[in-house]
Amino acid sequence: MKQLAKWYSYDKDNLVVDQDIYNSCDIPQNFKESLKRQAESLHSKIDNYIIFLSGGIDSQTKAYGFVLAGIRPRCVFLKLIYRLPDGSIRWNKEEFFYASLFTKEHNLKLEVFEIEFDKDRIQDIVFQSNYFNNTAGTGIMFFSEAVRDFIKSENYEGSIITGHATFSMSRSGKICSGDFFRPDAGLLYGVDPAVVVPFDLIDCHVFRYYQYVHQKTKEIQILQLYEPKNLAYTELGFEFRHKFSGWEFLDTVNDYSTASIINFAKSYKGRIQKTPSRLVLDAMGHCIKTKYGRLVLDAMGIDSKIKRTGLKSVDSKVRLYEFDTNIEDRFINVV
Amino acid sequence: MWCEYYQQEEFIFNGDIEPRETSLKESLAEVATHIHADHKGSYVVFLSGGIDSQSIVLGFLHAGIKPHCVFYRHGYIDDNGLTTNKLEEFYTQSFCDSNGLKLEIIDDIYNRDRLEDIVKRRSYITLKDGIYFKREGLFGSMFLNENINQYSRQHSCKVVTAMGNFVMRTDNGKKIGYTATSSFSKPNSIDSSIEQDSLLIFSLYNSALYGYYMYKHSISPYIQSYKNFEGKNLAFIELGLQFRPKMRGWEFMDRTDHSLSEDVNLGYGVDSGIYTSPFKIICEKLSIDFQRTSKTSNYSREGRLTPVYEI
Repeated sequence: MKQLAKWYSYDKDNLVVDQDIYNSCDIPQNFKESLKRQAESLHSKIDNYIIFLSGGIDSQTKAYGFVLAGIRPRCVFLKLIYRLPDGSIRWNKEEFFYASLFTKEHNLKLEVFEIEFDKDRIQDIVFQSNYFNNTAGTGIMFFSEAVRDFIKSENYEGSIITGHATFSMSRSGKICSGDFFRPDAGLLYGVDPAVVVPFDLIDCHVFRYYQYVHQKTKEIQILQLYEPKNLAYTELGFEFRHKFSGWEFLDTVNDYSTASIINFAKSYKGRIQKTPSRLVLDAMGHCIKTKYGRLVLDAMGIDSKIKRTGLKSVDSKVRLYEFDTNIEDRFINVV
Repeated sequence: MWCEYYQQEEFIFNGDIEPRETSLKESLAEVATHIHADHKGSYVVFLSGGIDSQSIVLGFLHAGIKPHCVFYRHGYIDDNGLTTNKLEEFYTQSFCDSNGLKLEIIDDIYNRDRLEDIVKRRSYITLKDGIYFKREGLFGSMFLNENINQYSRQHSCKVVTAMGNFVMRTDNGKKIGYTATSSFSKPNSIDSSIEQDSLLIFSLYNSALYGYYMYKHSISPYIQSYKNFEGKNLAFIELGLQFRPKMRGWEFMDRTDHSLSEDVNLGYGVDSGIYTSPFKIICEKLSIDFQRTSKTSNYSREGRLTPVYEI
């Protein structure tokens, strides 16, 4: 991980925010301004970078920051193809639909890099990434493989701008707080950390704005959990779209045009709740519902009572700020 | 008025909808302007914590009109004390504070007898052959309708509400806009006790809003990518209203301490947000054995949809 940011120091186990630098950062008055400043800062520090644009609001918000700064970033869409045993294919076309709309709207070029997964390849990366024995995201596993493939095939030597370091706003009783994930949470497997640059961490403009908007907006304060990336809808006017997590290309059953729920607190929730680990197993050719399937999993050294959980957020989170809400006690059940 | 409310179950539209290349804000302002011009000094807006009523108030404000806003603070009292719709009150009050609006707050407290009375009058729960039958519908409207009649009578004015959902449906290349209103809230319908002269339904007063929905539906590939999209959700992305839990008007009886981190439902016909069965709550309040009840009903969500345009 490149330590280009000056507003915090970081080693393997500890991240310390330099409060002097953070507090002296001018508060952006709107989300657009914060993204623009962040993009300008990043552009001034890094010569060669790329954005892997998906259909979601995370990567598109970052790309939009560059657009606002008058910079045209290189945008690449990772086309994840799943070849089923019968030869048919399924790919992340829903994501492509939203990614291409974005680039068209902002007059950006969208490059497409294809990567194909079949049963054997999925099995390989599952074992390489120790998928069933860690809690990292399923989408990250495929994304990492695709990024590795891209770097190798292009001999790419620049930086990769990512959307990780996810921020969450929360409230417990009267205390509101803002937390973000440490840069090592959600790292790409097998990708040199030195080339990975989380957009939101390169400078503190975006987080500074998050704190500002949290402190001035009671409607956000009352929520016990809120992901401020959703300001992309309410402030930037991004049109609604389904939440994708990077593994849906394996799903041969669900129709995502009917998945019309946006959860504004957690990323990995939507009306379609296919378990990604089950999809991975399906793609590997194992049905864990059967006794035979369990035996196969046992033979592979995989716990047949698999129940993967999300990121261990407590361990990976850094508290950036706290403040007392001035919402009346009667509204928030504080006695 | 663009839409004569109803003849039995039907809407009567005065003229076809034409797509209007404008914005949500402008189209809301246009409707508000017409209402204000026709009823100046003799209408109020019922405001709640939800995006429906807050959108229409923003429409009035954008048109340079400060409407008189009324909020009913519902409560339920029993031996366990008083519960109120405080989340609605919070979002309503915050909205008014942000927009410099005065809010008339009216306390409306239910107890067991009063709840039983309204449930019987509305045939909300009926007893047949030893089984309690629940009628379907939007139960929050039951309480709202009481307030509309009451306020209108007492103040000799009309009440502007946002009642009426709008669904943009895209199926096999066909794009159809539907309006949907509960039979509870249809004036003169069998189920309703709303008096015709009491109510002005904002979205049906003038065709500007639906004309905008038609335009938006025709140009937005995002909206077209959904089978069902509720037009009112444009309030988040075009008016900047903050995400919030969905409330339905009966939560004042609910003692559950819900987590305030929920979903936005973009579609139609899928429940989301804070959800406790209002039926179960009402059964508890009225000491009805919930096990001896049936949800059987001939009510159909699809039956509530009336096409307004087809592209």
